[in-house]
Order: sequence, then structure tokens, then C-alpha cells
Amino acid sequence: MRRVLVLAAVVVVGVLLETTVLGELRLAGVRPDLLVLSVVAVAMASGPVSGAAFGFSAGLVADLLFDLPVGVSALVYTAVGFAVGIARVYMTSQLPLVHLVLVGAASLASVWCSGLLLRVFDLVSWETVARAGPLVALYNLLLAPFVYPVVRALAERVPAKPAQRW
Amino acid sequence: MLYERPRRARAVLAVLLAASIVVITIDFRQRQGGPVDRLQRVAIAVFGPLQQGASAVVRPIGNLVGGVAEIGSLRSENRRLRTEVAGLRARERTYLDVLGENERLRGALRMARRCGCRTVGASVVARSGSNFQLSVTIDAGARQGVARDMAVVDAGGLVGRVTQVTADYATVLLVTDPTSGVAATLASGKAPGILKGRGEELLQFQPVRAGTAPRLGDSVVTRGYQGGVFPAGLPVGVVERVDPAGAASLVPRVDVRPYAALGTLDVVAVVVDRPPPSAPTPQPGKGR
Repeated sequence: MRRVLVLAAVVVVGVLLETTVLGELRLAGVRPDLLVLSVVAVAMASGPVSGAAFGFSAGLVADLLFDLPVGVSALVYTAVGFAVGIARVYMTSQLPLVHLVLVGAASLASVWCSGLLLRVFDLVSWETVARAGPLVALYNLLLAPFVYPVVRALAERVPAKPAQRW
Repeated sequence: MLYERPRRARAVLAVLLAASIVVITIDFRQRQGGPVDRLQRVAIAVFGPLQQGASAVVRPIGNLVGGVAEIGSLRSENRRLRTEVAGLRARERTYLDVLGENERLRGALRMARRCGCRTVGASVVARSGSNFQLSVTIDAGARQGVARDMAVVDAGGLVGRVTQVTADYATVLLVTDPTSGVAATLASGKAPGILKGRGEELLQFQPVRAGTAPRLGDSVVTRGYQGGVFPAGLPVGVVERVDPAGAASLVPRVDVRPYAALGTLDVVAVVVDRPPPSAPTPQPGKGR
């Protein structure tokens, strides 16, 4: 229960920051995607199931608040959380650079996948999608040193129940 | 959850992805009034106050950070705008000046055109330096067709008479100069006389014939005479004061206020030619 509250708080704070201060700090027309940073952090801390679940919840909240087709971010964040959770098994290095690369790649993939889905709904142009990917990834990399370790530490401090039998 | 079983993980993933797609589908099918729409409104209702509060706290910081990032560009922009404003102010002054000049020049030309005269526009470049002579120098001379004894008008009326001409400049003796005398007549009736300058604001009208009685508000116009280029009918001024003939003087003393703005003269027109009696259409002057 504590874990759910803590992670919910992460989502709420992330959404609030994104819609307020970061919305005004757009660089080259994009704002950073704190939620995908959080998803990566949680997935790295707790594995694919937690990553996917957290990604789904965070994405759903974001979708409900932002004026886009609901479910797009949920879908993408779920996939990102799961993929990062799987990938962490192969990441034995503790080098910050490795984590940064992961964050960058996850951000890029997330933006491009969302863009692709929105493109299907004809809500964005290809140029916008193509341009936004690297820009958001870069912006996320700038913020990663402040966000990623914090969220990761939080997720590790409130571990999921070690065993679930069904 | 360090050792999640892969099969369970895949099941979770599949469920979540399916859920997402279902949500997308529902949302896309019914944008309004559907369950997703209701959920959206709930989310906005919950987050709205939070966002408002967060904005209030965070916006100044955002502005500050954004402001710091912009300081460099703001400075240069500020500098650029300042120079631009100064330039525009100067331009505006010039523009207003030109506008007024244009207006007065038009007036002068209209004035001259009324009598069907050919005119040359000119600007006053200097006023007489002498205390005893009321004259101005204009920037039109022999090259522009100006000659001695020509009439000079502004938008209001007669200004004076050309007394000196060089190639590009001319001196104009104002009607108010004590040595100036202009053949004139009352517009209301045949009452020829001489308009004498007195070195002050008002002119004095001296009727030739005794017994003429000018009235207040009568207009005084020029009187043409044979051989001169001085056209007839140019307005000169208005009668402002009449002292009837009496013990002090045999003729009435008549003060006339000139129509021309002699105190603030800047653009004038020189009447270079009277219309030949056969020419019906007046020729506008060559403006400068």
C-alpha cells in the first residue's frame, strides 16, 4: 500500500511539474518528459512487471489530463516500462553513462512511438514527430541526473512484496 | 520482486497493453459522454486545483529561470529597440513637420490658384536681421522665375513683395514693413486706397477718396494696376478698427489685420505671372 502511494505521488508530482514549470520552460518547442524518466527509474529498480504497471498508470493519468487520445501514453509507457525492466537484467554496469544512454534511448523510443500512434490519428505531422524525439531525449538527459536517481531510490525503498503466490 | 517469473510478467504486459488499446478504442469511438470522457473530467477536476497551486508556487521560478536564459537576448533586443524608437521619434517629428509644411504649402498654392496665377513655392530660409526692416528671405530666385515686385502669398493671404532677387534666393518685404505700401481696395465696394505697413502687427488702410466709410469686418484685397505683375483680388486682411474722420484727421483711420501668418511664416508661394486674360485654366505652381 505504501508503495502504491509513493509511486502515485511520483506520478502526481511529475504531472504537476510537467504541466506547470516545465510547460513554461520549453526548449525549441518541446518540454521534457518526466514521466518516462520515472518509468525508466521504476523499471530499473523493480523489474518489468512493476515497470509496466507503473508505466500504464502514469500514462493513463497523463492521457486523461493532456488533450490527446486517451490510452496512447499508457500503451507506450507500458511497453517502455516492460522493456527497460527486461533490459536491466543485462545491465550489470553501475556506470552513470550506461543509465544515461538507457534514459536517452527510452525517451527517444517513447516519443517516437507516441508520435507514430498520434500520426495514425492524424494529430501530428511527421516532421514534428521526427524533430521532437531527439529534442525530448536531450532535454530528458539534462534532467535525468536530478530525477532519475531520486525516483529510483524511492522505488527501491518501498519494495514490492517479495513473493506473490497464485 | 527481484525474481519475477517471466510468464507472469508477460501476462501482465499483455493485459496492460490490451487495456491501453481498449481505452484508446473507447476514447476514439465516443469522445463525449463516454466512460473515458467521464474519467477525464474526474482527472481534470482532481488535478486542476493541484496544478493551480503548483503554478502559483512555481511560475515565478519558471519566469525567473526563463528570464535568466533570456537576459542576453533581451539586452540586445532592448538596445535595438531603443535605437529604433529614437529613429522613429526623429522620423515622426520630421513627418509631422513635413505634414504641416505640406498643408501650408497647399494652402498657399490654393490661395494663388484662386486668382488663377502661376506660382512658385518657396520656403522661408531667413528673417531679416534688422530691427527696422520686416522682410524674409525665401529659397526661390531668378532661376525659379522670381523677379522684383512680384507678390508673395501664404495660405492666408498676401505676405509681401519681392524686393531683391539672386539666382536662388529672394528677399520679400512684408506688408507690415513701414516702407511697404500696397494698392488695395475694400472687397465690399469700390473704395481704393493704400495699405501701409507700420512696423507692427496691423496695417493701415488709407482711402484715396474721402467719404468712404469702411466697416468692421470688411475684407481688403489687392488692386491690380496696369503693367504690374501684382494680381488683383488677393486677400490681404480684415478691417479690425475704424476711427471715423473727425477733428484729428480728415480721413478715417482704418486698422487692418493681415490674413497671412506673418509671425510664423515658413512656406510661401511667389506669384510669378498673372493669368493672361485668355487663359481660363489656372496653372498650379511648380512646387518645391
